[in-house]
This record gives sequence, C-alpha cells and structure tokens, in this order.
Amino acid sequence: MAALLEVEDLRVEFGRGPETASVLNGVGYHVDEGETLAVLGESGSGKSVTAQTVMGILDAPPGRIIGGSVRFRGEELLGADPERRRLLRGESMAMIFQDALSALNPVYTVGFQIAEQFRFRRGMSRKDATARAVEMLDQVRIPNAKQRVKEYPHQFSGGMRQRAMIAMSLALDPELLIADEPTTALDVTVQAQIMDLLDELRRERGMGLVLITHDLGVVAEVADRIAVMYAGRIVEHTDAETLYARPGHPYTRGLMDSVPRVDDPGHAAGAPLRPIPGLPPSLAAIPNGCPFHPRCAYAQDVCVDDVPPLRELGDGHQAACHFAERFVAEGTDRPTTHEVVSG
Amino acid sequence: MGRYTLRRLLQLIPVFLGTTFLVYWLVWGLREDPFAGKCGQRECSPAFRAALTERYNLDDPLIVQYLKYLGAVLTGDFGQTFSGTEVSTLIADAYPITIKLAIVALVIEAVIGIIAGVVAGLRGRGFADTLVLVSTLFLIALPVFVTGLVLRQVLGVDLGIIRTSVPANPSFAELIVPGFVLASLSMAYVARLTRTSLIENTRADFVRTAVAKGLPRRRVVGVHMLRNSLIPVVTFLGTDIGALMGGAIVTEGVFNIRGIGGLIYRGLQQQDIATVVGVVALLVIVYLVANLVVDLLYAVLDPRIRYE
Repeated sequence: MAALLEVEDLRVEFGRGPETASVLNGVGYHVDEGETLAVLGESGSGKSVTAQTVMGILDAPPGRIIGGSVRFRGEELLGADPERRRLLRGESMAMIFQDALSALNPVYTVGFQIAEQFRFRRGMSRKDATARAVEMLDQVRIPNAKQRVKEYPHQFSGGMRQRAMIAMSLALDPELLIADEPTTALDVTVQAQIMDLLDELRRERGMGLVLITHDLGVVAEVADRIAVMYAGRIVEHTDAETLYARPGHPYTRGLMDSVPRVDDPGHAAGAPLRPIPGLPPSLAAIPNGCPFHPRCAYAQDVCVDDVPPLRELGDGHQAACHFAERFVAEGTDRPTTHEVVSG
Repeated sequence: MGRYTLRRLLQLIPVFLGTTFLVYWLVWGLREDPFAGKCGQRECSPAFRAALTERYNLDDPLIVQYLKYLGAVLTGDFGQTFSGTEVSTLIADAYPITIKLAIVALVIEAVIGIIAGVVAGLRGRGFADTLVLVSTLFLIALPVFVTGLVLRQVLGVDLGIIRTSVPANPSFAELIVPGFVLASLSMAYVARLTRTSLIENTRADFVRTAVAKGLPRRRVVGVHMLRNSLIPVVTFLGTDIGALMGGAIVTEGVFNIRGIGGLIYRGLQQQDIATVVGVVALLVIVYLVANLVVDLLYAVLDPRIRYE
C-alpha cells in the first residue's frame, strides 16, 4: 500500500536561549492508506507537537521546526507554500482534538461550524451546506440530527460533542485523520463508543488514522501499528500484538506494568501499583545517552554514554534500546492483546 | 428570556422609587428654608412664599410631597422651576442635544477603539501595538477638560477649523470634535480591552480548530476570533451608553453645548430644586434601562448565557 504520510527525522524546538526545549528529536513514522497508527506516550513526549507539525498548525513562535521532513503522498510539506498547506487541511488531512468543548467555538451552533466547511471550502449555499451538516451528524450517529444541528456545543453531552467534532473533521472527506487523544475527556463507556465509531468510519472511508493516546487499552483494540514516544523520540515501533507480547524497550514494558490488572497476582487487591519510577525529563535538559536511563531499572554504563538508535529487530519491530534483543527474547507473561482488552 | 426581562423590569420599580425619594429628600427635606437667597438680598415677600409653598406642596409632610410629585412625574409633569419655566420644556430642549452628542461619542469610541485594538492585537509586538498602547495610555492619563481645551484652542482658535462654541441646535458634524473629546477616555479603554481580549483568544482551542479546518485567515480572524473577543467590548460599550446619556458636564462646558449635563450643573448652582429632581429622576430611568439592555445583549452575544 502507498504511504499516505511519511514523517522523517522531525526536529522541533520551543523557546530560545538556555531555556530552549528540544521537543522533537528526530521523530519518524509513516501511515499507509486505510491504516491505523497509534502514537503512545506520556504527556510531554511530543505526540501532539508531531501532529501539529504535520497539520501545519504548530504555534510558531514559540515552536520552531529545525529539521526533518513531512511528506503527504510524496509531497514535501515543510517549507511548502502556506496557502497550499491550508488547502490540504480539512480536504486531505483533518484533525480532532481532545476536549471538544473548548475546541468547538462556543458562540456558533454545531451546524454552523460543520456547514462552514461546505460553504467556504466548497462554495455551497447556506441552505445546502446546512443540509450536508445534518447528513454528517447522521453519519456519526447523532440522533435527531435535524434539531441538533441548530444547537450550541454546550448543549451537547461530552460524547455527542466529540461526535460532532468528528463530523466536522470528516466533512471534506480527508484521506488522513489525526485524532489527538479523542477519548481522554470522556467517561469509559463513551470512550469505547467513540473508538468504535472512529474505527468504523476509517474502514468505510479507507482513511488513514493517526491515533494519539496514552491509553493502552484503546491502542490494543484498534491499532495496526504502534509507535511509542519518549522525550521527543520514537523508542519503539511495531504491531500491537508484538508490542504486548514482546516489548523491546523497558519504557514500553514499564508502561504496561503500570496498568493495574485484576487477573494478575502481582496486581492483586491491596498490592501496590507499579508506576515507572521518576518523572519524564525536562525537555530543556534531556539526559545524555539514552533519555530513559535515569528511570530505567536495567541501565548500564553504555546507556549513560550512547544514545541508542531506533534499530530494526526483525519483522518490522524497531526499538531504541541497547538491550532490545534481550527484552524481546524474555517477552512478558502477559496475555495477548485481545485478552488485555476484554479483561 | 421573557420572564427574566419582566422580572428585571419589576426590579426597576423599587430602585427608581428609592433613588428618586433619596434625591427628593436631600434637596427638599434637608433644607431649613428652601427660599433662602431666592429674592436677592431681601426677604422673599409673603405672597411669593405662599405661591411657591402652594406650588411645591411644602405644607404637606415630606412623604406626601414626594408622592404628589411622583404622581405628577408619572403623568409627564416634571413641575416648574422657581422662575416658572416648565422643567419638561428644559429637558425637551436639552435632551436631543445630549443624545446626539452621545451617539457621536459612541460611534467614535466603538469604531476607532475596536479598529485600534484589533490592529494592535493581531500584529503582535511591534510598531502598531506600541503606538496603540502609548497613545491610549496618553488619553487615559489626560483629564477630559485638558483634551477638550487643547482641541478647542488648536482646532478652533489657531487653525479655525471648528467653531469654539457649538450653536444652539448643532448638527452631527458640529459635534464630532466634542464627541471625540467626550469619547477619548472610553475609546482608549475599548482599544485596550479589544486588544487584550483578542490576544487571549488567539491561542484559544477553537481558533486552532478553525485553522485546522483550513479556513482562510480572514475568516478565522473575522468570524472565529473577533466575535468571541468582542463580547466584553460590547458589554463595556453598553454600560458606557448609560454614562453618555447622563450628559457630559465638562465637555458641554468646554464647547458651550446646551445639553443635559449643563442643565443639571446650572440647576445645582442656582439651587433650582425642581430641575435637579426632575433631571435626576429621568437619568435614573435611562441608566437602569441601559443596564438592562446590556444584560440582555450579553445573552444574545454569548449563547452559553441563558436567563431563566
């Protein structure tokens, strides 16, 4: 399948002088047509900044792209004409955000904000555009769309609001959808509904989906491939099955261990949680060597001195750890992804 | 919203009664002799006293006087001044001029203030932003009578572009300079408020969404940014209408405009009690209604606000 989006060695800094934060330090991933790539990582790992750079909506200043490449269907986007990039937004690539309440304009109706795409990108009349907006709300299964199109975002429930946001992003039939933590602000039952909807829409439309999240459960269910980010780098990249069974990076392993589980004796009731010790590094002072070494239980001298590159371990499994082979061989005693989700 | 409006209108009644009674009591009730100094150096003649006592019901207890006065006001009779002129005639002569001046001032402060604020807010740090910040600070620091006197001197006397004294029944054009003077302070506030509000919204999530939708820049700014940014500005302008309608004693004085501000000022100076009470009663109503309109407007501008 043809690569829809290719990100290569992307480097972004924020701020100037000694306070400069290296937010992205050579991020690379690719998304094919109709495929779901999950980008997993803690807050501040650079997931959203990568997405914003791809979309061309990075706040600059303070953000500054200092290198790398973003290609959409082979076309280089960094340094491209701003008008060209604007036309790609909505039309070829669209984005939905974490908190639909603040991401939708509070003073316009939901219908107005969806119809806007048809009116100002397609030159439709107000009436036709509103009719299309109703169709879009129908497609994301908002009941009583004809009425709801006239309502304001604050009159929608959290889940319905995120559906409306999805409807808006899909109005112009984009080939790539970037979903930035689309379910984080929702409660658990609604989260599953939104994920199902996204997955279904992706399949129907053959759309590429970049799913930014820190929720391992969400990832396991829908992702074809997973990229794990830490301190502005991709530290592991593989399919969901492999990631759960044989993670090659201790950070990935730590992430999975920190999820409390009912069926695991180590996580029995009353047993302490097992978080990853320490905090993610300040991006203004990323440690030498492997950025994860201060928090890593397996760190050796080499980890302090040398930055481990993202290495191919076979079968498309990549990890940025000096001892990746060892961790892959050890595997985990955890069940397959399917059981993680249903458990 | 209908019920809310009705409730607010009902609330106006006690406020109106309270304020007017207070004014009435202050000017009539607290004076030992309302006629002191009314007849030059001499004592007023018993006949004059009797006539005025009769006219203002001064033999009644204060509360009865007030109620009689209130009854007359409600039928449109604002009473007469000591010299026998109808107060309603005075108000009818002065109020149209005040309204005209208020309109000119409001347009100036809204148009110039908002444009200056938008330019400063959008361009970020730079010449335009600094220019707006410094010039507004200048206007805020300057007392209105200084702005007025300087403009009258420069434009009226030195350059001869305007007349130093506005004619009795001025046109809108003749009120532009006085309107500018009256508006200058609020204009500076409007510019600063617009600027701050716009800058706050620049980084708002819904603006980022609008950009991510690929909307043209002028639509992102003009529709998504501006509408939200102008909510506090419109509220400020609404409140200012109430203040402008109350007359402008200083500006009217500088340009010799015969508006409501001058009327109330002369009324106070000459201790013409009927004029003062009448005009104040009217202004209380204007102010209360203006406030109500602002509150209702707020709900129209921001759909999240609903009055039940």
